[in-house]
Amino acid sequence: MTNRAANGDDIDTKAAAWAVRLDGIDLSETEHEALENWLQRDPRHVGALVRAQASWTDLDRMAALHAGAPRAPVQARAMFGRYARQWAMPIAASLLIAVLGLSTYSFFDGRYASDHGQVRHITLEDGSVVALDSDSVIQTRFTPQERGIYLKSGDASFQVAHNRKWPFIVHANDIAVRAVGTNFAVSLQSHQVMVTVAEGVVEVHRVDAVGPASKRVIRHDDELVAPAAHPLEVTALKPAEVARKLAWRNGLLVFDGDHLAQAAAKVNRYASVPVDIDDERLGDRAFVGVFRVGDSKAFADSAAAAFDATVDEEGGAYHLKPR
Amino acid sequence: MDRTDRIRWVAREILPHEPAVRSWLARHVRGLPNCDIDDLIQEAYARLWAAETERIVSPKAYFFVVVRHLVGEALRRSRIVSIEMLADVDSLNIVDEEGSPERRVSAREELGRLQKVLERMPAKCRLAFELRKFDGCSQREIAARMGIAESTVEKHLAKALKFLMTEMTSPFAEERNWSMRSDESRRKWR
Repeated sequence: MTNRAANGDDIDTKAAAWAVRLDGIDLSETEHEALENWLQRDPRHVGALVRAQASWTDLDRMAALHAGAPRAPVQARAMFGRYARQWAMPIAASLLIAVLGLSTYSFFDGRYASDHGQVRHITLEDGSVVALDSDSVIQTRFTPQERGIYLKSGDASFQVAHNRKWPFIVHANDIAVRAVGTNFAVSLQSHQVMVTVAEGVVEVHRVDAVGPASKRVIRHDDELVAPAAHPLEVTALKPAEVARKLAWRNGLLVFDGDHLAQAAAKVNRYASVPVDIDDERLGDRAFVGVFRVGDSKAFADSAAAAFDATVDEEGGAYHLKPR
Repeated sequence: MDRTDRIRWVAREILPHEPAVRSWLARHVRGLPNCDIDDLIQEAYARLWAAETERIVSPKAYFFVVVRHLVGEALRRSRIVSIEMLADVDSLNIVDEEGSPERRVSAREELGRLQKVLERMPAKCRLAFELRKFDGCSQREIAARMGIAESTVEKHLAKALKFLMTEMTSPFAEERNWSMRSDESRRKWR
């Protein structure tokens, strides 16, 4: 550790800059080379970058914790520093409202959430229609450059109002789905992003931590799966399959050859009384049926009838057992 | 695991123990020649990064072992260190650190700590950071909102990250002694 050019603090400063850079837009060829060179010069650089990227990632977790906390007043203080404290409160307050009013207000605007068992339809200010599946959250952020939608959790489907000059972009984790006028759904379940296109074309873009960014064009009746940190995969679906997958928008769940256990998991997303399958072999059976979301009783009864099983309501759940 | 997964692993399994490792280093290797704690931490992350993370059973213990090993190496390279000192470091006992009950910080405490650090951050850095992390804005959106160039946004964010990294991983972070810490870090920052 002797006679080295940079000290630890300088290295950390550079590493922080790279970590932020890697999280922003794509690196140019030259920048990529510069990063590689820097990393090869000293093992400490590798360690510092790993540490900086880990810290940057960890801040997302803290930001999530932060989501519920009020923060407008804190932000006002940040902008004005100690002056705000020196001024008489009424003057400061009115001034802050005048200066920050508009921008601060929009931070809290445009958040839509659906409750357990609820499918919500929302018409956005540009005329696009969003269907929010049970237990889902989106945040809209419309700027002159884009109609931005941030899928925070769950599933959302979009009927996009056509406007070539104002791209409609849905962000989920590290995935951005860009559409002009189309009909598609985005799902964010356990860190996996899934895009299903019913009409038109969307462009899916991923900003990776390191390495070339991947971009795919998804046509109607295609489905793209983007598991966290794995390559994007595109599968062609039959139109009927797409309709089935998106039937929740109309308050229906359609199963066609799904395993009973998977079907039950979907039903339970909406149900106040969940269905519990106690037998593994029963859970593996292929199942066909159409159900209204939330009607777990009908689901349990018809599964029992189809597979010669019994339904017991006990402890707030319907238990399916082989007869 | 690919790179993103590994970064998450480091964030989850290693980063939370950094304050403890730093305070161990501060207590045991204070005043050692050519032994900068920041350097040691960076080297340790580089070693951890090269390791097969899947096979590490106790990341915390592993982190301590790597650091201890690095201290030993640094001492061996340093010619003016006496044999006694070397023996001393070789026998350093890390069992007490590992055995001590986990100081699990609650979400609320952690949030409070973050809030305090944010309050001391320069206003523009903080605003850029909050827009990025709390509001999920892109760098371009932040540039538009703050009326500054995207490259300036990036500089603010990098400064914010550096500031947060230093504050959240310092050994003092464990002790929650904020009044004492704040003056010192302010001077450092300006």
